[in-house]
Amino acid sequence: MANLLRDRAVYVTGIGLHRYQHLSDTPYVTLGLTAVRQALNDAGVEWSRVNTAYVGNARIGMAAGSTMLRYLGPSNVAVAQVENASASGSTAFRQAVHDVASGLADISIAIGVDKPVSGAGRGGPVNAQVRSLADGLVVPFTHFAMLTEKYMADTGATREQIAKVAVKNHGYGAENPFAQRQKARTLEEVLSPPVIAGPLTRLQCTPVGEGGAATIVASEAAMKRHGMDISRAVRVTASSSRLQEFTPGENPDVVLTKKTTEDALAAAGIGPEEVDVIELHDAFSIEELLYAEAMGLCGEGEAADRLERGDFHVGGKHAISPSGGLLAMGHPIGPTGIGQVCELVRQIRGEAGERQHPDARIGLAHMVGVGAVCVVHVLQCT
Amino acid sequence: MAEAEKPGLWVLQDNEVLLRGTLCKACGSLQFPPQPYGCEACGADASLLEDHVFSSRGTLRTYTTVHLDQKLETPFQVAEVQTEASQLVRGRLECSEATSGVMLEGEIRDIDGEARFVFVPVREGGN
Ligand SMILES: [Zn+2]
Repeated sequence: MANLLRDRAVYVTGIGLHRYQHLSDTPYVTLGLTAVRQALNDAGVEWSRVNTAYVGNARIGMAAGSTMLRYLGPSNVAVAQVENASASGSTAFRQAVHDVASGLADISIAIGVDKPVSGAGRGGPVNAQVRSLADGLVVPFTHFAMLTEKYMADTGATREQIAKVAVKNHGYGAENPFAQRQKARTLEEVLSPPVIAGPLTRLQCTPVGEGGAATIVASEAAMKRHGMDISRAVRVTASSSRLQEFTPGENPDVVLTKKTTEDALAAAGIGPEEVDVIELHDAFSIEELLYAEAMGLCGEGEAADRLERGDFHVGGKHAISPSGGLLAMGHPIGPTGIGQVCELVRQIRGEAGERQHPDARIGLAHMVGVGAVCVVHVLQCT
Repeated sequence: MAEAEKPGLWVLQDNEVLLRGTLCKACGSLQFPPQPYGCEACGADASLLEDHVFSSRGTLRTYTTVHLDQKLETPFQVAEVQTEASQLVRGRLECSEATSGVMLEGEIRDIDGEARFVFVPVREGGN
């Protein structure tokens, strides 16, 4: 396969967010357009200059993207809605990046907007009608509670050590004005009831709410032509995506994460030790430990100890989820993957304030989605 | 939830509960739960898939206790079992002393008026 992003420089030039929050009366159009206008403003470019737009969502149904974008005024933009479960936003970003890399577009926008309203129906996993003994018994938190039990049995990690993932990420959420959960939590608070399943307490599970996120993606030529500020641009050096393979007995999300991250790091020509900031799919606390190991940030079974040593904190070896991650910033589905890119851009620009990881130069964004799919992007300073 | 929710996932044979899977005639892979679409292991067409029953006996790999559910009475246990045919099967568990490695087998119990599959410890002296 061609390595388009090595041959052609593609940049994120603008970011925008609407705060992630509980389901409210705010129309999705307001959530989305707030993020879009902020991103256009941050990039310093007019809406009419944008050639293509990809709108990631999974909950709000048909034609959500095109309906929303009409309110930005006259434009001949080519619009498509992108659905890829939890990786919808990441996949919209990937489409925008490849439009610019291939030369199809000079400027593209990736948008994520969603509300937890189930407008899109029951989805593939239900409509495929493959029944199992786990139907009605195993929902996502049950699945991750079982993975937590298994991880504790295999590695000797304690429930306190695993809960420390949530303590860290709630701490960063408290410093992020766009986070759904903005309250620092002690270990005691994270461990206290309600217990959802096994070792998982409520504060170790992501809140699924609503929000908006947007990124402007442009070529170097377009930036020069339209007078955009190249000093604040962040280059996208890899975009990888994979479908789950048949690997019975193994955790599919871990296998997918390992392979997709390897693809992305190879395309970017770097090793895992060089990545400064990581935003990953920590919908449940155990996931941060599993994926840190799968990405090669540490050895297998070592992540809980590394976390306790401070390796995964801002200022440590690799800052993981300085946005607060899915656990604290939240997981409105469509916006989540694009919100991760916004955080990496902020970190690499050195504009993350209290949450700033020192000398952040390389960032990696990772999402998995039901199906399962995995999408990984690498961003680097110019 | 209607009884028809889980059609054909298990069969009772000589007092033993067997699981129904899909066997691929092209590559020999046995998959559970059964499906009519194609082989996940090799991609063979659905015409090469056939029904295959196998023992529900196996060892407990991991389990958890669920404390929150919108429909079912809590708490209840859910297990992941490695069957003798090497399938990883998840289902309801009823075991007061669950530890990894314990031998389990399927049993059909009446739960809320419906016949349901439950993993239980293998009875001493059982076949
Ligand atoms: Zn096959």
